[in-house]
Amino acid sequence: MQSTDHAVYEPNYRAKATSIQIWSKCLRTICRRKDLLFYLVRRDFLSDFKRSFISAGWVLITPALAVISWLFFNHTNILNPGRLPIPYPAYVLLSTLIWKLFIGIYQSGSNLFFESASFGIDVRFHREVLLAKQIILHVLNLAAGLLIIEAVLVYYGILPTWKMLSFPVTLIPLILMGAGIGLLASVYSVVLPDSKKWLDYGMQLLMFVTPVVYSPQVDNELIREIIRLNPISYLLDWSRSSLTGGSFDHPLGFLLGSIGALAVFLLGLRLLYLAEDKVVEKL
Amino acid sequence: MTENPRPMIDQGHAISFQKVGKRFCRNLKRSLFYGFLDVSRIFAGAPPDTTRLRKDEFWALSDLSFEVR
Repeated sequence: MQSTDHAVYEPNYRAKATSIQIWSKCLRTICRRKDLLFYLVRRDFLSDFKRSFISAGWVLITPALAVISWLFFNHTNILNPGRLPIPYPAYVLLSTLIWKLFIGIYQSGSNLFFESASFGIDVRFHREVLLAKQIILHVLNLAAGLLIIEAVLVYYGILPTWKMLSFPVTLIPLILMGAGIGLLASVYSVVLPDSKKWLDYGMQLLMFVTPVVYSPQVDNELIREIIRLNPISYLLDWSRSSLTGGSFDHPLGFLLGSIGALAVFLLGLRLLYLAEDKVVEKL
Repeated sequence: MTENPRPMIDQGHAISFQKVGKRFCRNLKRSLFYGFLDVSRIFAGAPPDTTRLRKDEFWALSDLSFEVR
């Protein structure tokens, strides 16, 4: 059979692509493989519940357990959360749910090569589809957790406002930031395994210098300065404010954080595309 | 990768290899370090030289050409 369509692979052929070509190719790949993406999302989402005795109950149990532990710390006065605009349980529940989305996407992104290691060495597989799948799964889990959040917010008298409509938009920079850092980590975690351990440790530490379980208005001047310089503080704050009806403070911080998140994401995609062949060799 | 059809390639071939090679490194940590250097160079826009051997590297296959019809 004669075919007029074929591919030619040359040494370092990926390095010849421009950034625009790489980004548009990744986008086109995801659009073309949307059936595969839908299948993978459905499979992973349902398989988690099928194997569990409590099944879908974990969607509610996980955030509930998280809030109990933070309430315990608060009740015992180990933790001083500072001045908060809303009651602490609602604040910490909302913040940890948003943080979980960010850190979950980072972890999924950073394990991209290891997740597909069993077949990724032999089969030419589009890892951007795997990343998109993981992002969708984390967003679905967040959406399920929002049910409990809204109930808690209403319980504390915080009723939904029109600002709630902006919640999905305010999540985009956080998703991009998590995915971008994860993509950069995914490549270097294979060729420089120690780097991932350091970065994982750094990301854990990041939670404690981001106002997740305490207020941005803390008394400690050093922590306040770190929060001011930390772009994720602004991204998290806007997402939180959109649900609580709070004010969107520091628009410049949010704007710069969003631009930074987009830049990190695009750089991560570029690195993934350019280095994929080299990295797969080292798995 | 060039995805446009190229007239110089015989359309009767299922797959065609021209002057391909495969090199390995005897030392795992050095191999990973080379990977780190290569990835960083590609990212910086200066792709590594794939034709030369570095310390502890050897050619498992070299200058191999074949076709599958």
